[in-house]
Amino acid sequence: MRRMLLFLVLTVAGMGIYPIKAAEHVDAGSTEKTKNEILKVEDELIQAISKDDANTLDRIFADEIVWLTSTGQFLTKAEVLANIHSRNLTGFPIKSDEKELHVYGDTVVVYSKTANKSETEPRTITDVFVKRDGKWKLVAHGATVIAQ
Amino acid sequence: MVRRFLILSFLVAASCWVSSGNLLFGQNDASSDEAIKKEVLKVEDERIQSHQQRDRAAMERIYADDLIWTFPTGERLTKAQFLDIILNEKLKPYVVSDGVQKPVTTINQVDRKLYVFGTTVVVTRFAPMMELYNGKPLPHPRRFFNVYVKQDGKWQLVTHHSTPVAEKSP
Repeated sequence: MRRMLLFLVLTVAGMGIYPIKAAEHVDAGSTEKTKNEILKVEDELIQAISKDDANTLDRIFADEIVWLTSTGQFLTKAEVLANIHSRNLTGFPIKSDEKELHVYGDTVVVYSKTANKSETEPRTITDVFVKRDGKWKLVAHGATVIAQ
Repeated sequence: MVRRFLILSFLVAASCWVSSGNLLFGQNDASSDEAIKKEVLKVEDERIQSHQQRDRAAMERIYADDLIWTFPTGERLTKAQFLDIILNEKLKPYVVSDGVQKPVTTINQVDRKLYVFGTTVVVTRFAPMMELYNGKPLPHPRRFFNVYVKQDGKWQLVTHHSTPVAEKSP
């Protein structure tokens, strides 16, 4: 009986410890891996916008995405997709070399600046990604014209 | 006896596994979404109060160390720069009454909405108030979002993004 109780205690302790160890495993290596994953998703996003690829955009945009345009409007996912479809792309993410990524576990904030050829005024961009069900989703996007 | 014991061990272990998984990976349902919104609103109110009271300790706790604060001018500030602005009163909300500038003592939370994505919450708002930054007026009105992330059991604001509302914008 004592052996059985010991077994039970060890089993419970073991089940509790494993996830804690797993959580501690968020180290510099996994941060770099996360950054690479996000850069890949951002590239997919830019490609999808340029090609008006609705399936990819639907996969990357969260259903409740918060999209703040550079004219100060909040758009829904349907409105963002409609703008892309009608090629109204002012303030949209573009390929940029000035990206800064901040990683918080399964949340990543990407800061960038645009110099979109069709835009005369440069914009500062904030994109927020969250990993849900193993997939990175864009949950918030903000664009602001940089005052000269 | 042995079989009953094994079943009991399995059930206890399974229950520990599920509950620890929920805690770690932030799985949540509608009711917990509401609980999360209440937690974040409390922190958001504490944050606004910390500005009014210039409470450095509260701001240090609420703002993530690598906070980026994007002004409606497109300027980006670090946590140290932003705290310096608030603590040294370089950012002043004001109203104009009878042609005279007067300081604002109450901040209206206009059109505030919260969006929950597990342990990440986006708060959106409309800010009609006028503000002076280093003595110069900032563009207004504006819309902005704040992003909170739960880290080590605490909600922290990791980014703020603000954009002026264009005149023709609805």
